[in-house]
Amino acid sequence: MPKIKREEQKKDVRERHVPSAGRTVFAYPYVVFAIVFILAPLLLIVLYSITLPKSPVSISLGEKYAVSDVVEKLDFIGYTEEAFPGEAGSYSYTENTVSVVNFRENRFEGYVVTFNDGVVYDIVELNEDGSVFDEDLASVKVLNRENGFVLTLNHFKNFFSSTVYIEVFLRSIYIAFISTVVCLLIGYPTAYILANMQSKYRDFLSVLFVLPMWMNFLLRTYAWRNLLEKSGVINSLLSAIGLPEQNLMYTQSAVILCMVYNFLPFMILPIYNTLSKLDKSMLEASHDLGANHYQTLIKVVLPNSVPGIVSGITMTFVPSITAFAVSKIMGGTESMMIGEIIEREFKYDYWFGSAISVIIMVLLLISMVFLSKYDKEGTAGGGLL
Amino acid sequence: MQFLYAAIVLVPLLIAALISFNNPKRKSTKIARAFYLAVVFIFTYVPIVVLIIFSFNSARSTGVWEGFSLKWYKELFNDSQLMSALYTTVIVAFVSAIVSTVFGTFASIGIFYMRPKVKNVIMQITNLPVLNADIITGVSLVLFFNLVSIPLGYVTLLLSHICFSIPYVILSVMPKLKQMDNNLYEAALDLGSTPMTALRKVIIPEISPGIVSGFLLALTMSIDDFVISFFTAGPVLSNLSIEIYAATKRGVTPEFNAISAIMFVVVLTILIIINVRKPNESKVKKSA
Repeated sequence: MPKIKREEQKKDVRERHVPSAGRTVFAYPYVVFAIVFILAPLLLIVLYSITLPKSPVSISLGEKYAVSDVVEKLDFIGYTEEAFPGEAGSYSYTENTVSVVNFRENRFEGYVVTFNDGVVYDIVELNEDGSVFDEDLASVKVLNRENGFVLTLNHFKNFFSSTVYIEVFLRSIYIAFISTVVCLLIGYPTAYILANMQSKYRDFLSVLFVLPMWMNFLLRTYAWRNLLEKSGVINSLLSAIGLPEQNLMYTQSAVILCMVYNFLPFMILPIYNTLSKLDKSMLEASHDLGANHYQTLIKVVLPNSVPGIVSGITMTFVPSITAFAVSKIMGGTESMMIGEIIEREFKYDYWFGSAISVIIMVLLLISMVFLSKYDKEGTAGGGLL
Repeated sequence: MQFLYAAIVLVPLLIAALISFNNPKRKSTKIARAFYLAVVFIFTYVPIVVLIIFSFNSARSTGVWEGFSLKWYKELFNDSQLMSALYTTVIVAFVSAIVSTVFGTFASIGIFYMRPKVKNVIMQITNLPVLNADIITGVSLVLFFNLVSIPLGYVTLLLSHICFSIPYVILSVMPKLKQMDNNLYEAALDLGSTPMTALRKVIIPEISPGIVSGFLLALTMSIDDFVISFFTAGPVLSNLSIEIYAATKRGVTPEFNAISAIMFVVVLTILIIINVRKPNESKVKKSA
């Protein structure tokens, strides 16, 4: 152990002594780029997930409000309660009225809203001296006292208190997990056989197996639709040999099948890379010591291919948990995944969408910390290269 | 019934997998291995082959063969929307790949000579887009573009593609820098070359295989991407992926089979080029 440590130190010193000769300058533009376009957006998403914009309170004639609701909203956007409103940014209320006063850009704004059984009955705009400026306003928008955000954990609370979201979240984990396991079960033997092939075509053949990886992701998904559709190839074959037609599309199995198809190359490639670099003399040693091929597989080959497996699992699990196109194209309503919800939320509610993204990020972080225990070389992601 | 079909396919496959781990000299192992590879090969290529076959189908159906025709290729080239989407995909792929290769190569050289601690931090940041889920990279970029009020369109699409391509370039150039003999550069300086000349004549040629594979990786990543483009392209602009996604909702025509067939042939050609290139490299290394 101490020996290894000393060696590491030596290596460290050697690396440090590479003369830089000002060449680090080349990295500065990239460092700026990375901070702006990689780090800042991720921090932004965390920021969005714990904030809420202060939106204006709007009140319209004939609508139903409780006075307490209006007061709460005014509090929220930065107004303070006073006995008689007069100061900028103050309000007062009785059982049936709410009065608000503010100065915006040096212009006086004052309103009195009267309620009748909770229904807005009258909205009056006032002049600075208290006289009536406009007697019959249809609606009023009380603007923010100060622009900005409030910190809140409500998005997370909303997410975890909704059974629908939790169900979708758990289903995404389930589908991603099953897809990853199936990919591993199919991919490991494939990579093993390819890596142990005694042929000069070995490299070419292994490229053939991962070739679809370089095709467009959506085209791959679309290709399966051709096969599985009601009037698709599989059903026409089935009916040609006299078997009943199957309902293959819009099922959870279709989603999993398509995920496996899409991500299988990402599993095969890193495992193949580690297996083909495996020291063959280790296998010989194992055989010489009397182990049979299965014992060698379990005691020597598998433990030594863990970095490849970890890399493959990361590259399958991470994209499949958030893939929203596959479940949207191949799946029905019962196979909705978390990615679809993020996509939908980002059409109108950035804040809640960000919160879901942060939840996913935390999940990924946990699984990566867990996986990195087995991946000492940190090859995840690098498996593609 | 579906489970039965799944079992019919999967059980022999599992048995074959188990046998194929046995002694490779046995005949049964050889047969099992060939069988296993054949099944996975069929699984991998049947959808693509079907896609290509039906791109020549004269009928609109994607399940029933009704005769050979090039009709869908003709329609594809006349479909201005699809062609402009294809054009966007190709332009964005090439521009982002070129920019990120140049940018990424210089960045790797710079990062390589940094102090280990700083280097480590920067590499961690570089790894983020590779390890993170695409959808999160996509939406975070949308939030960012929104904040600095860049309207979503060509610029944002390009920037986001550069953003997720650069890490791949750096990750493929870095190992080549590590393999490089640093004395070469020192020797060049001792022999009187300026640092810039040494960089151009010594370092760049040494790491060029990494640069080329980084470029190809960036290119394919860009063509393959759907999720990030979907968010950062905005409502008006669309590339091929977005077009296919939209089409799967409103119903697809065999035009898409035609475009898939073309893309498959293009990708196959690129990969064959890469593979013809690779053996030459190892030959050079062996002789050196």
